[in-house]
Amino acid sequence: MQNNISLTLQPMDIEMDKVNLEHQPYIIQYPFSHTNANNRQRELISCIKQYGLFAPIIVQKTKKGNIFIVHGANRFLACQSMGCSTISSRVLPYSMQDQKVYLFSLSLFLSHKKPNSMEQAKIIKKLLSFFPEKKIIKDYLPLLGLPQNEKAFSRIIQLADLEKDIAQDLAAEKINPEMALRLVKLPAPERIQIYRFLQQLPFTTSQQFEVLEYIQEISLRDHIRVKKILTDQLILDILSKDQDQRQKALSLRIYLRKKRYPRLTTKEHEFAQEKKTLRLPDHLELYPPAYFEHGNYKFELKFADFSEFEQKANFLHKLAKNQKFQTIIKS
Amino acid sequence: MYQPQKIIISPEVRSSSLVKIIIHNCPSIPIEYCNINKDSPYLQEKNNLVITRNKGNFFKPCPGTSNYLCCLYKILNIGLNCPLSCTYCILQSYLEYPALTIHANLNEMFEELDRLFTQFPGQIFRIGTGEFTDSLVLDHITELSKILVPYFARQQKAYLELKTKTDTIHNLANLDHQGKTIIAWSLNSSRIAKEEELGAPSIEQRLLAAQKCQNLGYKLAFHFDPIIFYPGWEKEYQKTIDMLFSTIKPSHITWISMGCFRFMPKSKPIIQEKFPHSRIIYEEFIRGLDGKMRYLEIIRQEIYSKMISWIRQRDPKCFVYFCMESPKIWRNCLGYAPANNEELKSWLDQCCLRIIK
Repeated sequence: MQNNISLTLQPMDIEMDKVNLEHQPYIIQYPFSHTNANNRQRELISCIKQYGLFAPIIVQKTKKGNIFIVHGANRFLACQSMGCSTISSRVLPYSMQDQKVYLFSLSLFLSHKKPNSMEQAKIIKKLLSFFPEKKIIKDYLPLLGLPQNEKAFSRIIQLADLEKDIAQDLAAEKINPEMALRLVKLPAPERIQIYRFLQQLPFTTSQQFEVLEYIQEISLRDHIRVKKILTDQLILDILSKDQDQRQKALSLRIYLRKKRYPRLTTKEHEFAQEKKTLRLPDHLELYPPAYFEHGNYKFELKFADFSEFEQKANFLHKLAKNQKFQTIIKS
Repeated sequence: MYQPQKIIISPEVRSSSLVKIIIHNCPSIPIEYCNINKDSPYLQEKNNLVITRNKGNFFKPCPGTSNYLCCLYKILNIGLNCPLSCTYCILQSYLEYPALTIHANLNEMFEELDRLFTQFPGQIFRIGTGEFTDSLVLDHITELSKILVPYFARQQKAYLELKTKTDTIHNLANLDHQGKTIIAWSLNSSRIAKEEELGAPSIEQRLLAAQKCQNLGYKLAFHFDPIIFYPGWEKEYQKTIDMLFSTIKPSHITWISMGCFRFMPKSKPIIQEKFPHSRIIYEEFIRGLDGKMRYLEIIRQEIYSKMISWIRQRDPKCFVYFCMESPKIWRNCLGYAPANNEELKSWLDQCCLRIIK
């Protein structure tokens, strides 16, 4: 990036209430607000309190008098929360073009921070207003820590307009970027519904994928809306049960799997019921072929000593003549 | 009928007879001469017709699939890809590019076949061109059937199966086929034909084309593959079977094959992306021993048993076989199973030898 900007400008105090934080085209950090104050921000406040504002922030003042922060957004927030009314700033001339200011801001941002997924997406979206896709792939993706190819470009750009809830969680790495990419493919109302649903219970990432796939595929197969699935009485019952959250998550996965694979789960249930009638002793387990189709039935036998082995072997010997067992195997 | 937007010809085949025929049949299509390799951008465009030299073998065994019974079919690789847009098409994930490719070095193809038939004089060959493309979808452009049918008519023990979803059969008239070419149609329920076999003629049109081939004395075959399970499938597939037997004489049917819908796991996102309207991938599938997703055994068994009973009601002697199924399915649905792939091959070979009365 080339930014031949002379920063010999003398710092000057600007009035902080002239800065409208709602409209800041050059702030790259995401999320950016007081509500996202973290330990780092608290440390910054304490540092400014102790030593003062060591480096002025950089802003641009437009012809209309708007003030855009180019660099130092966190210092600005820190000073604001400390109740300061002015902040020392270097002011870029309003004649400096949008593209140049943004690239300057980006250059300063990347010099001290590795962008999160949302920042990457938003940076690329902004760069698209200046450059063609090919140039961004070639010159900017590596700077953002992304592979230099079209696939990486088209994946990340999809995330740029995610709803605030999901975007903030993604930036905070509370959800997996792959999950965000799956969510982004859904129509907006369904995306939010499913996302909020997934956040209710402590699913692992792989469980989130599993649940999302069940919901999506049931919806597509049965031509019913996602909302209708999520407000199904049985799901509401599970959610309102007086149970541990992990237990609820498990019940929900079992329920959705049943709904997605009704025949397979019925077969599994029938097998489990029939197996119960065999009264297998502890440490002797019977497994059906995979999907009741491939390969062999399997017994797993565990024993602590010879006497236990002999006991189990005798049981198996009797089982070979058991009519019920033969029926189970034939079915 | 399909017309390409552009024809790309590899210079090494520009003087081939096939190229001359194609140019003659596409007078208004722009033509470019250009060397083609696997990275060529021309291959990325579905509407391009790329004519090139097949540098590999034309003759290949069917890729089959491990752990299921395979009829040991042989493939003649005349080209790759298809202008039809069947949502379930395995070529979407099997081939690396979407452009239609035709192999124009036919002299080399026939030399290869001659060598093979001379090397194995006692062996019966069932050879199809419909594995990596539709056998007839480009026949109005290539007129390949006019070359292939007479060639196979001259062979002692080699049978050609032209497998199609189209009604492009005009070139098949007036050919001396000697009963060595079997014209086969892929059939489905009318709903699946309309919703999932995009760009393909209706079932009625396919069967009318089959009837014309019957009148030309050709042996016929029908493939219910992929059979797709959906609410109400029974009524609609039974209707197709009724239409088949109302249009075609059982004596002309060499075989009917059946195979339930199956797909490679990597096809799922492709189908979701390219055909978001399609619901066929959301039934109950399990990962088969060959790694492909297939319906649960109980679903497959139900489908096959019913289909067979409807076929048997119309023709009790019709030879029916399964494509890539387990011996258990064979036994449960047909009451018998070939001992191995070779036995299944021999059954189909015998069907080829049968003379239409």
